[in-house]
Amino acid sequence: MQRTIKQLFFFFTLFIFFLFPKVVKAFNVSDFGEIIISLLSTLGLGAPIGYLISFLFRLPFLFLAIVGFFIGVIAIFVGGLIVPPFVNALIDLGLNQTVFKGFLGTWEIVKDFALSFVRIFLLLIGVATIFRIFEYDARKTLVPLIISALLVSFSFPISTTLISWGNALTNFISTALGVGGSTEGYLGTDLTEIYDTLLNALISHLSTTFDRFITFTDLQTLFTKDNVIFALISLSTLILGLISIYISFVLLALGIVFVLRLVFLTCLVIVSPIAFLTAGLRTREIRQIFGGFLNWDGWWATFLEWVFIGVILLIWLKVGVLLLGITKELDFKLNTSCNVEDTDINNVCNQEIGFIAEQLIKFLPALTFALAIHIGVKTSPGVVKQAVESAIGMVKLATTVAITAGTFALGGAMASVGAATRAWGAARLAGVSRRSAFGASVKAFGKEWARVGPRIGRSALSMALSEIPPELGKIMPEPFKPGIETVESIKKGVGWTKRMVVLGREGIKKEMEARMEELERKRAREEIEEVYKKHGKEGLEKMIRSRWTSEIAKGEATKKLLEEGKLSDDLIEKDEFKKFLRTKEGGKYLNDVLKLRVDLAPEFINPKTNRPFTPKDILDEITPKDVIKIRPKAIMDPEVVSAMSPTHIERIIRAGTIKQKDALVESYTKIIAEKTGITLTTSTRENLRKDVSENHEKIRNTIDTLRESSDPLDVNKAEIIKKIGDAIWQRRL
Amino acid sequence: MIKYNPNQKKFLSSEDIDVIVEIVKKYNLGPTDLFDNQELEEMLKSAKTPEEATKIIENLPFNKIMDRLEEILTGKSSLEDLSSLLRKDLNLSLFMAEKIAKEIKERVFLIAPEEKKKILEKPTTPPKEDIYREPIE
Repeated sequence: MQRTIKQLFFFFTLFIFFLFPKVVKAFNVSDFGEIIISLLSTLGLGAPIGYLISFLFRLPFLFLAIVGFFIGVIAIFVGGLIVPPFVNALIDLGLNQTVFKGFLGTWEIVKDFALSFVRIFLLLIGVATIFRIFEYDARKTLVPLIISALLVSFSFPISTTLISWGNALTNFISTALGVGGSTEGYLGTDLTEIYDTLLNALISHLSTTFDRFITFTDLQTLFTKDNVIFALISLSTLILGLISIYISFVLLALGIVFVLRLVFLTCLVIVSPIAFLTAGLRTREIRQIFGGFLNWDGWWATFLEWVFIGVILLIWLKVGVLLLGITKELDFKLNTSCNVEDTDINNVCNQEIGFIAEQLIKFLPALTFALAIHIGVKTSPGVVKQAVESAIGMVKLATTVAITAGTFALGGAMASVGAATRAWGAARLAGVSRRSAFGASVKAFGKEWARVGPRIGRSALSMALSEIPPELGKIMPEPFKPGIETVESIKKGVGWTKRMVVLGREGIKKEMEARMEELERKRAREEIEEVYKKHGKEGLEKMIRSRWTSEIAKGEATKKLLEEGKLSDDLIEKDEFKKFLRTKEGGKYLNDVLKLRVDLAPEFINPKTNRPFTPKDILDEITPKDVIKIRPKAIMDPEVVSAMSPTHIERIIRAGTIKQKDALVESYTKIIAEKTGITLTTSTRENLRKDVSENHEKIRNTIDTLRESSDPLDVNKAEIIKKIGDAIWQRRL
Repeated sequence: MIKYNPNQKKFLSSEDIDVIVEIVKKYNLGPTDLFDNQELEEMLKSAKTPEEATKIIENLPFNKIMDRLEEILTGKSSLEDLSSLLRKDLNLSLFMAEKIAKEIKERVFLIAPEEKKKILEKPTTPPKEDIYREPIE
């Protein structure tokens, strides 16, 4: 038995590797695919094998559909079931008045601490009065001190009463506007419609997806329609799912703001004795001891912000609910027409893009609702605003990535369809069999994959989103502009995805890195401005030298110091700074730094020549106007002075500082010592002049010798010696 | 009379030295450069020793003028004496010494440009009316 198998295997191998190619060659048949397909057709295995081949092309789209489906399920689960009751509970908790009583004990400790300051001040006033030191000032402080003591003692009831007023006003607004209540909650019932829409879309998509996946259609239909629909469905589910998640984020942020309100107000009530103490005693010392929100100014502003934030947010919530109603009644018409050469593909494209657009319109009311709350939440103080912006930024990023993936998949599908259809048509026209036409279309599948697709993908996506923001702009009043800008920024994100097709994976990676870098750079600039304002150049130098500072921040700090003309020699000479200048980021500022310290040029590699910089490399880039920015330490180097042009020297002689002129003279004496062996006296200018006069002949001979040299640097050096020598004698130096 | 306030100027600027160079050249007083100067080279040919060459350089009119101006700036000499000093140092005629001194005073020592302008332009002011003189009818 084993022997028979071995023999069969031997003959099979012989057939495949030796006989089959010979047969192919003999019959002049160049297409293996055609032969295999014809063979399968003869054996009656066309349908299952055809399905197996098409399975490979169905799988990626199925994967995309599953991802879209899961995102949709998460969106429904989170947004429909968890978020609304959770947010209602959070708002209720945020407006709870009884919480503060639990912290009465802590408040008393802080109150006693604040009152101890009052006692100390009373003692000081007493002592000052007895010894008649600043008697008048001491007595003058007595009244504010008593007021402080009263305020400190009653700070708890005062602050909790104010909070209760804030809560009462919030509840009043809630009732007046008709948002909130025990039965419907603050978000109302209308929101469930959003998730109904998504759920219905998901169910219909899921059934369509599986129908398309399971059913064996002929391969022409698979390539011309099924996979395109697959891609479009997955894409629409992804978009709708991410929009739902965005809405959930915004609502969650709303609830979190209310909880944070409670936390902040609790903290503010606890520290209120200190704030009230500083309200009465507005001395510089007290302000220095208790800064930030412990001080009355900071405390009062923060307290008022948080007490009444609920009112503002509820107004925005009502605006959102109203918009939800208004936008539902609006009839949007989206222009959805694809510009694809192939009529069949064009029909499919129009049909599915129209579907996405319709779904987006269904989501528009919910989106406007979320945007209104988004704007409201963004008005909340400090930390919350940042948190909300980060969360929403993440959703935006995820949406962009999903749309990018969708564009790519859709473009690829479209391209495949276009190429396959054309090949199919050509083969049919040539009069070959249906199965041969399939073979031809399979081969054509890979050839023009990316030629048509990107264009189709781009037009499809831009159509889907382009109509919405202008419509919003028409119906929304002025305060809604930030929200519209958010949608616009999502649209820009889509525009950015278009470039992916052009730039490719590496290109888009670079683009993303550039965006991240730009963001970091912006933050670094803000930080640097702040540090410079507070600590001056020392603060920035400290930043640059710190190992914890990012390269970008170091670069921006260096830029700032260069702009201000405050980059110190000490910093430039530090090894860590030189190390930074050798990095990619530091390299941006290397030339500017070396223009100040030309003498350090040989320590760095010139990227153009791949050799160390010469002073001349740098000096050639310095305009005569900027010569006077060169640091005296650099001018002290005779190599630097020798490489300068006579114009540079002239500029330093005429417009340089005293230190620069002294440095020039020092370099000159070194050059003369090297070339003539004469040591010129530099103790006074008079002695120097005398020495130059006395050694006139030797110096003149040196100039003549250098001028005759074949090295242009020596010729230049001769001119420098003459120029500086004349300037010394003319008493310009 | 042009009055020089010694508190106004402590040293000569590059522009002031340019003016001196220009004046020395204008009145053909001698070389103003130490190197690459043909005139100086000719003068130095007569020197037999290096000391003599140094003496020639030190006695060049430009150098002498600069010495005197430094003396004025440091308060060792008076600006009023400039013409007599130049006459003595450079062996000039009284007229020439006065002329050079006047030009140096006007172009170097008058600090305020407005003041300089006023003097150079010499604006004509209408004669004041004599209120004590009766008009001729």
